[in-house]
Amino acid sequence: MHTIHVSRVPLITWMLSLFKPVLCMKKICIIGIGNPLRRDDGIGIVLLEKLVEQKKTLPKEIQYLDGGTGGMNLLHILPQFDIVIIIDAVQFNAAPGSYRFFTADEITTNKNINSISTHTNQLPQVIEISRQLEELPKQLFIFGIQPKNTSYGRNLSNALKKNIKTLLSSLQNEIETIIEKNK
Amino acid sequence: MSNDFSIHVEHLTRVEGHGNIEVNVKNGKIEKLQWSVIEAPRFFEAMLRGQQYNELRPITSRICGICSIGHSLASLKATEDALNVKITEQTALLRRLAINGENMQSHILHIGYLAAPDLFGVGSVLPLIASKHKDTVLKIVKLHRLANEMSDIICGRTVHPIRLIVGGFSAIPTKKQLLDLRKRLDESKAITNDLAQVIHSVVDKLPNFIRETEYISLSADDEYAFYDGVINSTDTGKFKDYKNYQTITNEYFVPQSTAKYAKHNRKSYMVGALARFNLNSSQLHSNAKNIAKLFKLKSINYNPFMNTIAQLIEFMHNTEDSISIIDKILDRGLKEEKQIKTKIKASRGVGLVEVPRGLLIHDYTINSKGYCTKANCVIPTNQNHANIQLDMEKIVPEIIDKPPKEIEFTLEMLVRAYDPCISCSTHYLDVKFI
Repeated sequence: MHTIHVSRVPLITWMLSLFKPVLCMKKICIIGIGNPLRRDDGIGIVLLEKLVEQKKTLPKEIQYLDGGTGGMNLLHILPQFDIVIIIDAVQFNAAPGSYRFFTADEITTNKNINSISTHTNQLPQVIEISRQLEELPKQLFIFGIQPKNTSYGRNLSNALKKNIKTLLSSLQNEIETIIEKNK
Repeated sequence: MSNDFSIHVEHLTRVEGHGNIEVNVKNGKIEKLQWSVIEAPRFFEAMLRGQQYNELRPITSRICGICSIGHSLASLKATEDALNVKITEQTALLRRLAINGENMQSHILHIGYLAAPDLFGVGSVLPLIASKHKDTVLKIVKLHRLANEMSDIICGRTVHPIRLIVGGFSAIPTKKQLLDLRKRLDESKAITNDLAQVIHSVVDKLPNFIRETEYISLSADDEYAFYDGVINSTDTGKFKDYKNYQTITNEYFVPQSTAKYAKHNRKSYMVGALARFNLNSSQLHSNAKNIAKLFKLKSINYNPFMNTIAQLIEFMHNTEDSISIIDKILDRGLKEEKQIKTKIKASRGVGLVEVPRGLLIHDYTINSKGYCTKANCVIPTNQNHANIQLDMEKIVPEIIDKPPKEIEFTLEMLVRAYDPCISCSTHYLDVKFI
């Protein structure tokens, strides 16, 4: 597992943090998954990289992980964290570039969500095995983006490219909300 | 006996990627029997053209989520061969550790999550967790977890490595990490032996099927070859002219498949754990040899279903080999090494490694500015497709009196035994029709 820490927060922010309780004691990981050689399938990796580039807003304790197409490897990463947010291309019959933010429970219990991952549906299997092994993080969220084109190639489709800023900002908001709730 | 029946398995489960099995029998006679790969073609070779030499490794590591270390090493070896880069002894040792870690990751994934359900008569690993075999599943998870963490320690990630670069490593593990890894590998041997006993208790579920074929893998004088060696064949012996590997692999296209097929001395050959075992078993470490004895596996074994057992043997070998490599690294003194300078020149390079599913070859042509102008990747699973087809053609007449469901299950097991990684084996000819 490779972890990338967010760049250091400005000195003043760090000094202020000494005078208040630690933002979040829970261990949080944000995992991008997908294959950047299959166009929109790589959106999870693209957003993860952009998130890491952001030098503000999010606490430095958060870990970031490029899960690529490791599939079952996630089974060994999930138990290490209290809160996991997975970013992935998800087919849910919506407009390309739109997103759904949902929990692991919704994958198995809400039949209407139709949240089929593009990675041969491995993610739900990994989550179910993890659940049965009683290793599932207490909170597991998926930031799923509707792809348009998952053919072979290195560039995102225009539909996703033009939505990158909106997606990144929405993702940051969702993460901040979770952090706020867990303070 | 059913005089008329048909079997159509679309998107065979518990393999990586999409493959179909079709059988049509009329009046007791086989009219159609076909293994086909229907996954969309990939154009990785085209993606490599126009890329700078040091970008080839990161791109190819994304070809496969299971063999990303193997693709990285084949890529680096091809690039280093082209640019005449000589790596240090420490780099070679660390790369051997990396390839051991990946082989262990992949083999235990196949044995534990994909093949074991067949042996225990269930549809997937999930029912096993809820059964009396939960303890076995936990052992499998523990071994898989160790192999994953080993890849992380050596390569900086469990998948799509980042530390492997042309000429060496961008960062190396610490002495403490290696010592801790050594301890855990040593402790894991008992778990692997326990798992071997459990698998042995159900090994009679593997069909006793024999079809003589050719086996091809790398072989080396001084070790059970994974990272280095020359191409070796059970039919024709060693072939040292590695840059002319095409005379061995002879890839060709068939109408029913988007992937290439391969043949050498016969109509098909097999690569992978069983091929390596058949060619190099005398070089296995002692505990691995003991597992081979437990299963009475001797070279040459012509039963493709035993590939899963060969993987189990190799898992133990990789464990023991990794302990021995860590000892070597620490004995000679772990040190940060200067990055080797690369001199760009127009040339062609070929890199060969053994990855979990068999022989992997990358072949690059690089121009005088350091950009790739031509690339070819020969994937292990492609080399096995023709062998799978011929196995099916022999096994179906042998079991044609069985109920169709049993025939279907046996054929599925046969394909799974090869542990095919179809999603990285698919390539297709780029044709423009006028």
